[in-house]
Amino acid sequence: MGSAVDRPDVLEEAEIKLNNSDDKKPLVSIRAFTILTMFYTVGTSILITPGGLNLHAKQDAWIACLFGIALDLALVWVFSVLGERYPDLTIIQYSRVLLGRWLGGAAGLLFSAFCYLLAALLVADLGYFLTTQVMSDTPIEALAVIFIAAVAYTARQGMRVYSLTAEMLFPWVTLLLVILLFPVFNKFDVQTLRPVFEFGYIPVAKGGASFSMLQEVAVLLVLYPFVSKGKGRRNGYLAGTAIGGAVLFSVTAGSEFVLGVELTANHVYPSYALAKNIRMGHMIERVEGLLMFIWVCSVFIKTVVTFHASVIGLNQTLGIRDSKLLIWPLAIGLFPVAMASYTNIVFAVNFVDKYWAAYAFPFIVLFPLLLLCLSFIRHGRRSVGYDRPPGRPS
Amino acid sequence: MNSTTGGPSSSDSLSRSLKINLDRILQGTGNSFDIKNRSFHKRGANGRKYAGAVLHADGLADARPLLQAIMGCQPGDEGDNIRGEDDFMTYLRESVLSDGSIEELTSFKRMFALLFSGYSIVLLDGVEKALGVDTIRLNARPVEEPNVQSVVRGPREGFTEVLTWNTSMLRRKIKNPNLWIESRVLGVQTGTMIAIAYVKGIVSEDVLKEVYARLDKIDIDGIFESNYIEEYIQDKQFTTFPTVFNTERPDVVAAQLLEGRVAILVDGTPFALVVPALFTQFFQSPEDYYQRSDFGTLIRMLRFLAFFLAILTPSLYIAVTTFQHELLPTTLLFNLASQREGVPFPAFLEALIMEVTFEILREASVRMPKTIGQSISIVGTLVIGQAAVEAGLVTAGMVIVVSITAISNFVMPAFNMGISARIQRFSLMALGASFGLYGVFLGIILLVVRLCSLKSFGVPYLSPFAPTRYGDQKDSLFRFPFPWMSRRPLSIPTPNRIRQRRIR
Amino acid sequence: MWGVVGVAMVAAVIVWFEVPRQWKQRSWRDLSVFGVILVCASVLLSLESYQVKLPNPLAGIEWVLRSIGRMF
Repeated sequence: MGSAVDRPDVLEEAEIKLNNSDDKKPLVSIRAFTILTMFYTVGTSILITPGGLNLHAKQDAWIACLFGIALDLALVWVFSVLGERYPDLTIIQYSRVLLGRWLGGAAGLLFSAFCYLLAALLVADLGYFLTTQVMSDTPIEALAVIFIAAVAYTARQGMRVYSLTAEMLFPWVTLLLVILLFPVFNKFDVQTLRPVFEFGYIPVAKGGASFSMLQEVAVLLVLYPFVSKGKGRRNGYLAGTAIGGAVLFSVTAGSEFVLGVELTANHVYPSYALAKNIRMGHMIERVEGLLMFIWVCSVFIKTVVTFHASVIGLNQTLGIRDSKLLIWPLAIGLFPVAMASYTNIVFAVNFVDKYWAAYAFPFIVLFPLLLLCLSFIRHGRRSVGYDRPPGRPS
Repeated sequence: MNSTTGGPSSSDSLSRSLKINLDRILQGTGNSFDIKNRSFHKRGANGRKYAGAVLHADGLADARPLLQAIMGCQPGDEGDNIRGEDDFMTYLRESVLSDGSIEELTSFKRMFALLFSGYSIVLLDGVEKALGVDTIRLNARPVEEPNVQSVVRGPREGFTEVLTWNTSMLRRKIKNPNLWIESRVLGVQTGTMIAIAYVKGIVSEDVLKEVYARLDKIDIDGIFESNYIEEYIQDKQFTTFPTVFNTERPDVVAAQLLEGRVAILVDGTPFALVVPALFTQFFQSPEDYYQRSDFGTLIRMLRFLAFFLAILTPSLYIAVTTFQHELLPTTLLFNLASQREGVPFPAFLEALIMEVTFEILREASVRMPKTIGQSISIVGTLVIGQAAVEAGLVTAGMVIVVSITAISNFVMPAFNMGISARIQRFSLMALGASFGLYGVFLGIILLVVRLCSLKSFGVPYLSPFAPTRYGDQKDSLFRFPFPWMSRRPLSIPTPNRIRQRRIR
Repeated sequence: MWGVVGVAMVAAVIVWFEVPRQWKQRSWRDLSVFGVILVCASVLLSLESYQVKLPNPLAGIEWVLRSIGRMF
């Protein structure tokens, strides 16, 4: 804080300059983008991943988690290379550039559809979490409806607003996370982790790989061009993923220590079970309701980003001029898709466990990698700065 | 224009004939009894006679010195220098009248504006001009301590309803030629004068331009309070959170001007507007700066806490008692459960009844005469609350919740922020009643989204929290000692960032 | 019955807020896409309100993946 106070903030001054037609101003600051990425990475993963990791990798879940985070970071690094090659374009736009109008357009449309389905699944995820753990008497439809309405409203406000919201919520969520992880310090016992690699490397690798597919980091490439340009953007992308990964790692490892491997593997939402374990004296007990704020926030922001990404994708594929127009109709559509997709929680858990990684892989790994290779072939080693402001989504 | 053809002209300019001018004025004001008219004759050097009249508004102007000066003047002494009515008027203006500000008028519109501001109008037969002389003597409330924003330590003067007194108070605080104060007249019917004050060199030109642009767009019948202007210039209409700051204290305005803001003072009201206004401003009180910095920091945090309490307490209470019982310690839970046994209403309805009752009580106590008001407030809160509990209408817990909420509301120094809290409370209560803590959390998130979407004259409303500026934290959540605050807030655009040298 | 009424009201509100701006700007293309999506979403929503079992996209994905898995 010392240096920030001392040096004249020339860069900040440029950002603050009052400009009513802010076509030139970046929508999202680097700090906001980092926090947004962190929330995005944590997303629903904080709820659903520790269980699956412990199930497959048993006590090596923490290694699998680290491996998965490493994979995520590698992917982010590669994606940021791709993003920097077209600093003003979203992935939808440069897929049209690289693959041609029709093929690229179709690919973009498929990617948007992927994001749309993902947003619906996130809504359903939270809904099932709430109805099974917290409020079993409330119908999931009601919870989903207000959530979707909130997401639509937030997406409509635009990127600047929801990135600022993430920035604002960040300290509180951090505080709650510290409280969540509090019992871990008591129960920290390295013995629980042994024996290491008892079942070999394969389960760890599989666990890590399917873990990394659950962060869907590629979707952030749709938001990438709207962030302040420069080195910080790429670092923000990496840092946000790293911090989010650290959170996930802490929760996974933490639940291993506190709950034990079998219990974690059996719980659908081990982090909630972790929250139930917090006991400080006789006063702070059963505070899992408060810690629910963490998950509501992270899922909310991830859903907003994913949904907005799908809207932007659709806008750019079809060439719609008004970016906010389609938000509400598409939001209405989220509800039936969400309800239809997760018919019950068993089906949901099974799908995520067995099929998600294979389904998501072509969208969030192959597609961007393909674009990157094509980009090197087409445009060589230099980056193609288009230098016009991206078509504003908001 | 052509006085010899008789009949009053319908144009705005004065005519040469005194009679026509007088008729026009007196009929134009419907012979209002407080427009006083005093005619005079003076004899000039070569026997020429000059006829004139002095008009003033009784109660607004003190025309006696002016009349004495005119009655006592000797145009004959000037001899041949005065060769006509025009010369006589010049003679009056330059040699006779000793008042400070004299304006030559050619239009009736301007004349009426000056007449009703307390100027006296000198009309001369044969001249199509008039003189407006500053003879303002107003009867207005003297400078008093503002009762809404009072402090324990600090200056006790507040703005009054007279614009010139207010600007003088500002000038006394900032003795700097760079304090530029421009005026405008707004209000088609009322002709209210407003003053726009800023410190040249510190204020951002873009913000200033925006302020003028918005003010120029105002087309309104009458302005009685600065709120009329506020509703025109604010960024969004239905926000429930204020984006324009108002205050009665000149020291607050002066301090904000030094941060690069623009102040708007309105004649007729002691409340001045300051823009751009940020969320944290509404939690700052001048007291923070007049007491020790550690005290200021802690009190500020208390205010933020009070804000959260004011908004969240009823909804959290409803959510926890209806949905998430496990959050309460067991003994408390038993107590609450036994209290709820005898109450017929669900928690939400109970809260609604109590909150509405308290709002009614609060509103009533504003209007009650002082003598009755005291007893009613104590009686009202204690007795009604107690009686309601004993009648089995509400639980004791609910009465406590509502009292905490009500009191927390008044901790906020800015009344308009308190109003916002009161309104938001109800929507959060509804969400809490329907969806428990999840609903409250969603409500909080949506509130944050709403706040983040607000901008005040181009500055994001939640600076320095939302676009996080570390430098500004010194004066938002905390209050660092003055030697440490070497820069003006980063959130407000300004060309002159350095306030003072850094000393540690 | 009430399901469709509710959906229609929601759709009407959305049209009320969004369409006038587009109409003034004469962006027919945007409006037509808007209309199509709104109609599809409303239909789906109404069906959902009647508890009609909508085709599950995830089941479809599972089927596709299983077929691919079988091929190898």
